[in-house]
This record gives sequence, structure tokens and C-alpha cells, in this order.
Amino acid sequence: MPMITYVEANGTEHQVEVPVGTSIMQGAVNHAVPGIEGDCGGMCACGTCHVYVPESYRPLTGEAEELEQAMLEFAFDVNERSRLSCQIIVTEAMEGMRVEMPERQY
Amino acid sequence: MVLEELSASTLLEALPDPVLVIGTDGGILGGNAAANALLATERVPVGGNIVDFLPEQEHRRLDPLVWLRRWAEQPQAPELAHVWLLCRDRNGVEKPVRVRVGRLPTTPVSYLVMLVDVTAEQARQHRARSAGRLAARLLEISADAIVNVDENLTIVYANPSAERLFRYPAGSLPGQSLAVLIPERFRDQHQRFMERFATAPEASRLMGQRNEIRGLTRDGEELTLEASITKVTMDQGLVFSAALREVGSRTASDGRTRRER
Repeated sequence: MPMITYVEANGTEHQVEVPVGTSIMQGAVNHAVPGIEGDCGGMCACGTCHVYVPESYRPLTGEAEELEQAMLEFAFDVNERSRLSCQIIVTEAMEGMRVEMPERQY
Repeated sequence: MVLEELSASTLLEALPDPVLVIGTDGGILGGNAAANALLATERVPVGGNIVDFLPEQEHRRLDPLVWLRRWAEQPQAPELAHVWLLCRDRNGVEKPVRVRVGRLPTTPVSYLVMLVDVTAEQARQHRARSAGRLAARLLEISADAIVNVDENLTIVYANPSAERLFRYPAGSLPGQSLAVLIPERFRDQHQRFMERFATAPEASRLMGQRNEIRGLTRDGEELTLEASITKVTMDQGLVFSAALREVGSRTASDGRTRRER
């Protein structure tokens, strides 16, 4: 099971084993990682699971599709590394991946 | 009074939620008394623009007017149940509002925009979520193994200490029967105990009030355990929660017994 490191905006790190086939958002919510809300439950309909994906992992996570791009407009401090974590499905290759959280989701 | 006798403005005025009628450019064409209360205006400022009250926000790329137009065409858009816009009233007070938009059959087209202040709802939700997160994190770091089962004795939650104690991979216990954690010869007896406990008057039985019980690891080793158990009525029915500790082990946190050290 890939180990994902979630980094809060204040630098606090949370290492969580996330099952392959589930989302980065689900991994955070299941382990009560602060900084990711996931209000809509993973339907790409709230913009409260915003994370920053480092450049080096972008080939693994792919790019945001149109709906996700639209919902990112509701997120805080969006930049070119921004993704909605409910749309990133974990694969074995993501072992060791780090995602960073914005200062706030609301 | 029959519906035909009601004028549009009378209907609007009677609506308990704040409602504005706007043009496609956001120009305000009308509104009701509830909107005055929300916007802290004496009279809905006809001729003003809704973006004066739904401003663009710092740190967000969102253009509220673009979304209002989009929602007018898709009044059932799934995000409407979850997202909110920031409303800034005439006094500069900011309040999160949930939005509903309808397209009115006028020429030119206009929109009915309903704004519901969700400040209190959001504060409640954040408090509940923080409390839940704290409780969940305590379970994550608890040295005791915690296992929750539903009325059918299906595991609905096992904390990391439980996974270590019974030697299961992370996340693999939920969905399995509690029976997998109990040696076969004790399963009937344990089931009867749970049935009695379900209807017993006491909410909890603590370690020391129960005899030791036997557990079974994934690789077939038997464990001697102390257990506290409690029952909680949840929306989905009764949930039993047990805190388990290996007898004789200094700590259950790494799942090893003394004889293994």
C-alpha cells in the first residue's frame, strides 16, 4: 500500500498508507488529516480537497480535467501545482509521494 | 386568495429567504425585504449590481457572476449543495451564502437569485468536524486496539493498534466479520455474550469487569486479551466499540507479547 505524506501549510507532516484505487482525498479523510475537507465526498463538486502536487509527481497524477479546473476556482491560493485530491487515484507508483495543503480550504 | 391574484412582487415579498432579481449583467432589478436584511440596505438598490454584494475574493479566482449565469442554466448543478459565495453587506460585514439561481422567462432574460446566510451552519459544521478529527486522531495514536462492529458483528472500524495486534494490513479489517479475530471454539460463546450485552441495561463494561478473552491473529496465533466494551446507538443502528489490550504485554502498541521479546 503506497505511503503518502500529507504536509499541512504549517509544515506538519502526516504519513498515511492509502490503498491503491482510492483517492488522495479519501486517504486524508480516513485518517483525519487536517487540511483536507472533502465536503462533497469526492464528486468534484466542492473544491475543499485542494492540494499542491510537486512538479516531480505530475507525470504520475496527470493533469486536471475541465470540471476539476472549474471547481478549483472555489479553492484558496490556487497555482499551477494545484489539484483537487479527490481526482487523484492512488497507484503503486505513488509510493512516497508528498502532497502539500493550502492554508485553508474555505 | 387564488394564485392568479398574486402579483410577482407580492410573491417575492412573501418569500422568507433573501431573493434578488438580476439581469444577465448582474444589474439588480428588484428584491425582497429578506434581501434588505441580508444586505443591510433599507431598500434593495435597484440599479446597483449584485457583484457589489458578491465581490470577487482575495486568493480565489472565482468570478461570482460567471457562476450565477452557469447555475441559471443548470439549477440542479451538484456543486450548489456544497459551495458558497462570500456576501459582503453594505456595512462591510462578510457572510458565506449558499446560492440558488433560477432563470426567469422575461425579455430580456433575468435571474432569480436566492441567497441563504450559512454563517451559523458553517460554524457548527467546523466545530463538529474539529471535534470529530480530534477523536479520530486519538484513535490513530491509541496504544489500545480499538475495534468497532455493527449489529451484525461486521467490523466497521479498526485502529492502527488493532491492525498491528491482529497482524492485518492497514485498512483490511473493515467489512470482515468479527469472527476472524476470535478463535473458532470461542465464537458461539462470544456471539451469545454480544447478544446479551446488546440488550443489557449497562452502556459499557470495563477491563477488570470482564474475564479475559481470547483473540486470533491473522497468522493463527491466539492472544489473551483484556477488553472494555461499550455500545452506542448511531443513525445506522447499534455500534459496539471494544478497546483491547494484550494481557501481560507491556504495551499493546506493537502487538508483541513478552515471550516474543
